[in-house]
Amino acid sequence: MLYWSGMLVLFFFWAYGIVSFVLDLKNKIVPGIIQYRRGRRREKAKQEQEEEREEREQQLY
Amino acid sequence: MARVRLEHVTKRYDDQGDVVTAVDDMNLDIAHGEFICFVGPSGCGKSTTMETIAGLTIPTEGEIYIGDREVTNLPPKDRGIAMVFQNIALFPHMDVYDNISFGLRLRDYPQDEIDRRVERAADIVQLEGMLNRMPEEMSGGQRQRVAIARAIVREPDVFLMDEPLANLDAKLKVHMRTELQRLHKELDTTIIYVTHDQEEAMTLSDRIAVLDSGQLQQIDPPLTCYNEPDNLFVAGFIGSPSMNFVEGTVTETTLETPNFSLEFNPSSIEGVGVGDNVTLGIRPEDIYPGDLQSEVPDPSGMITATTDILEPMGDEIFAYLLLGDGETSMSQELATNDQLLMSIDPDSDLEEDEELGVVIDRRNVHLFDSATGEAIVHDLIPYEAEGTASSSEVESDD
Repeated sequence: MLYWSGMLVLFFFWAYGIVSFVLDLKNKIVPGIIQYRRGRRREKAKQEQEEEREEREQQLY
Repeated sequence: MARVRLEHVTKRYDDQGDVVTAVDDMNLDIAHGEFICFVGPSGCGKSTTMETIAGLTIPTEGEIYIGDREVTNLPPKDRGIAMVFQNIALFPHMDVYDNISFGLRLRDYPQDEIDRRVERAADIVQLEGMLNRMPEEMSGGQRQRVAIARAIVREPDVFLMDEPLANLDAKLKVHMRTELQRLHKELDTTIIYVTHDQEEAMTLSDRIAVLDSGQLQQIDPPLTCYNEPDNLFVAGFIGSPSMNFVEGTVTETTLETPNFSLEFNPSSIEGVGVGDNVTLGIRPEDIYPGDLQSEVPDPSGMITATTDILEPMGDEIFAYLLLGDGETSMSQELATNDQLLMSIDPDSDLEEDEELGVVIDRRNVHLFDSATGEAIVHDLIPYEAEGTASSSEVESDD
């Protein structure tokens, strides 16, 4: 009985941990990475636009 | 010859699926040596129009010509223009000389030519003796003059100025305005100037281009825009304080408004028929206290009003008059039927909450079509023979 109770406690948290990690991966980590990369791309594009604009403005100095 | 022409210029932006039209089918013809101001409220498209001329933005449709060349798709450096920006944009690590000569050094001009041009530009904008200073050691007005000098040394065909005085204080702004006028006279170059300040536009320009919602509303000399506005927008935008607007209906002999009537002959005015709904436009300086009725060339009948608020400005007093039942309207509508703003002499002994009679100079009453907003006439022709004060028979409704 003690053996089965110990196994249950041990494997419950083991399984809980795996399921929790998979859900986190799906709902937080992967979307977070996608959002970060999208943000970086957007920032880069914005920076390029600003640099281009600045370069054009300097042609008018 | 730096004539600037815009032909059917349209600029659309794609704002996350929504198409926003910033400039809508703009046609302009600016003569060589002309000082022209683009004026209008925020978001009216004046800066975008200037940016298309500068080459900072490529128009979605239409063509731009500077001189005889089509420059629609040319980069800014090949258009023969120089621009002065609102934020001044001096390089903080360069002294005045280096800032002014930046454009010339970029284009590999010989050193003696650079020296000659910088000295001349510094002389024009009165910056002699300051060429070694850093921008941080200068006042706002001096920094703005450096930016103007930077544009002058390029000896461009066209100057573009995007609200260059917007960041200066009121006193400096007036001073710089005079400097710009002097500069224009001296250089005889085409200047295109963007401002939202109609006073600046009135004092500086040969012609004003009034813009709203990306569309050109009127382009005319300042006084024409003031005295003969093409529509309600121009009438309300040009002039400070703004024109009074009152809704009215045309009858056979009068113009009936909720609180007074003006005698006139509708058959003598093209485009006006009995029963038409019109909007009257009356400038504050065309309303007079009743005791000055004899001095008004063609006065209306006496209109009873009560003074609400008096605003002494020094050289004049703005008196807010309540008509009818004397209730203040909080309406956001363009026409304020129960309120008139009158400009009077500063020596006037008028007091707040005082009942008085006022007359309107019918020679300067503007009529607009209420439905379209287009101007119909800028002078109410008297119903009876000219010079007679027949209109005094028309009494206020209240």
